[in-house]
Amino acid sequence: MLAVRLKFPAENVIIDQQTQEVAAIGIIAQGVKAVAFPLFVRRLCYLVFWDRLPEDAKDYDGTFALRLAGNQIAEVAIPLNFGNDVTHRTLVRIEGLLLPEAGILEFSIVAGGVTANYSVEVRTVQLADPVSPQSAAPVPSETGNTQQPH
Amino acid sequence: MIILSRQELREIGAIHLLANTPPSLVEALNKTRFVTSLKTFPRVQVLIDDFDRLTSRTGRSSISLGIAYGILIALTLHSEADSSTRVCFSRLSWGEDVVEIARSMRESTRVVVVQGNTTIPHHSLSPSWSTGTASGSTLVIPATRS
Repeated sequence: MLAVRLKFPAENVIIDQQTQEVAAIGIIAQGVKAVAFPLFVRRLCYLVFWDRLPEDAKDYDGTFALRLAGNQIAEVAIPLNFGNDVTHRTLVRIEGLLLPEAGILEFSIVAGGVTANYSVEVRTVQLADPVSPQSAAPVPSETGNTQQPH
Repeated sequence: MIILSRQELREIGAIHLLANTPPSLVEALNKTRFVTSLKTFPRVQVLIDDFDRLTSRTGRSSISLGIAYGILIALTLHSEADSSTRVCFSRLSWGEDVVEIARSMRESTRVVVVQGNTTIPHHSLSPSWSTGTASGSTLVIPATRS
């Protein structure tokens, strides 16, 4: 039976051409923070490592879906072809994504009756209030004497 | 068995002599007609026996070592299954590294590029359609508003 060994979203995933080793940059485990919406995300990746038993089928029809706050943003058919191997990797690169609101961002690939999903929270963060010049702390001069800012 | 010309034998020997790292050895040998043919050779046991014979010799030349590494790579990447565990690859100084590198080359990967929604929606988003694709090529989904 198909099994998911590892799954995670990241800002970028690189696969070495010679060694086929995978490197992930900016793994999104603690959510996405936005000052305002809509939020433009240049690239998001979703990587899934699959395992199968030798007696299982070699090919599966999968579907990738991306949802935000319950609304579907994208849906793509993704075939899984193991060949003669018992492991397979699926990498989905989403180029140019606009997040219109806060909510739960859900990545999901369904294949062979197995679901590989991962959810992260997209939330708003507040910026600190700007400090007015009059209320600014004294600035030390080069001689070590403090001076009031102009 | 696969017949090699003198030129091919010299090439395999040169690859073994000049390779300074296991990845470069694997990459160069994997491109040879010799290894390419062995990966689909129907009698895997013959390859295993040849590997044992070549690696149990006391006197080894660059050509015999190159052939041994080539057989090891072919056994690992064989079209039937990974048969590297059926030989004692530790007889070769880079045997373990070569097997590890070749095994990582077996791992199949599907990369799909999806164009995300870059239009500002007035309403909730909904999927449009997807195009069919050949293995490993690009899928593009333009987003539409509901």
